[in-house]
Amino acid sequence: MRGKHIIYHCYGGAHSSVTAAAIHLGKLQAAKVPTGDELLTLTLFDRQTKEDHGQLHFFGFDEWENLVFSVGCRNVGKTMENVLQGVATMVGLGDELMFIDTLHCVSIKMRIGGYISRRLGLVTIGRPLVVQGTREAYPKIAELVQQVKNEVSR
Amino acid sequence: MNYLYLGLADLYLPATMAAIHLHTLASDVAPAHQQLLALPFYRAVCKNDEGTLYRVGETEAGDGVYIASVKEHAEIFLRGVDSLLGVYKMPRHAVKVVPCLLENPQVGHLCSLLGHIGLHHFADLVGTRLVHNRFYDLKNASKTVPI
Repeated sequence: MRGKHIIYHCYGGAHSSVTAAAIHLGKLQAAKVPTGDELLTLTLFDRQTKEDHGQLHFFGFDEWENLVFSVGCRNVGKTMENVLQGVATMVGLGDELMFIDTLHCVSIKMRIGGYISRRLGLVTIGRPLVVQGTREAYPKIAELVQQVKNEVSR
Repeated sequence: MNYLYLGLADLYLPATMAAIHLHTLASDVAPAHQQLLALPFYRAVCKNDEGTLYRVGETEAGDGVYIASVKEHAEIFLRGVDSLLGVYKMPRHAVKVVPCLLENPQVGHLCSLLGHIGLHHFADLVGTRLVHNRFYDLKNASKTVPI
């Protein structure tokens, strides 16, 4: 087993957690707010559906060989942490999981845009709003990722 | 192999299923209230129970039997556990999650509320009623688990 399993989670696993995972792996620059097109090049950005909630999506390895994932946990992120941590402990791998909740970085535009795009399926209306919201929330997400990287680099 | 009985805002059904699995409770007749009260973790859920896994025991074959309760969205926990096992390159049957879901989750929340305000006895009575209502479903469900 290489390093830790770093799991970024949010409500739908489509925006903030995906963005955080991309920043963590250097696919998006932390210091520069990405354009809408750059966000939309991320495979999972604004593409998850409710049938994907709970599914861990592997993004890649970081510079310390940690595995980075994103997942949508709806409003039960903390409960999901407990369950997965419990299962990992059950199979003898409890020390490897690290959960990061990105939901508190989410702006109101992201919530409304995400709801319209993902829940109502009105992508043409919701996507521009969620992209704008993500760009506004980007510094906050980047700061959270930096804290995580500082912690795992120790 | 491990079994995880997952309740929805409820530990009464998972605790009963786990007891049937471990043969500490006979599955041929509906158990009495006192028998159920003697089961480990047979109680209303409280806030700290959210997603916490409790080990109830071990079968003769050495399989661990656990129970847990989640507030809502049981299906995402099934996916989460499955995908975590995939990440660890473990077979899906390494941890078998068996949902023991209430027909009406609001009743589970009612039990929690009763427990929260100190009416544990009434919460347990409602819990036993739930178990009795669903006992034959639980009994049939236990047959699908390779005990």
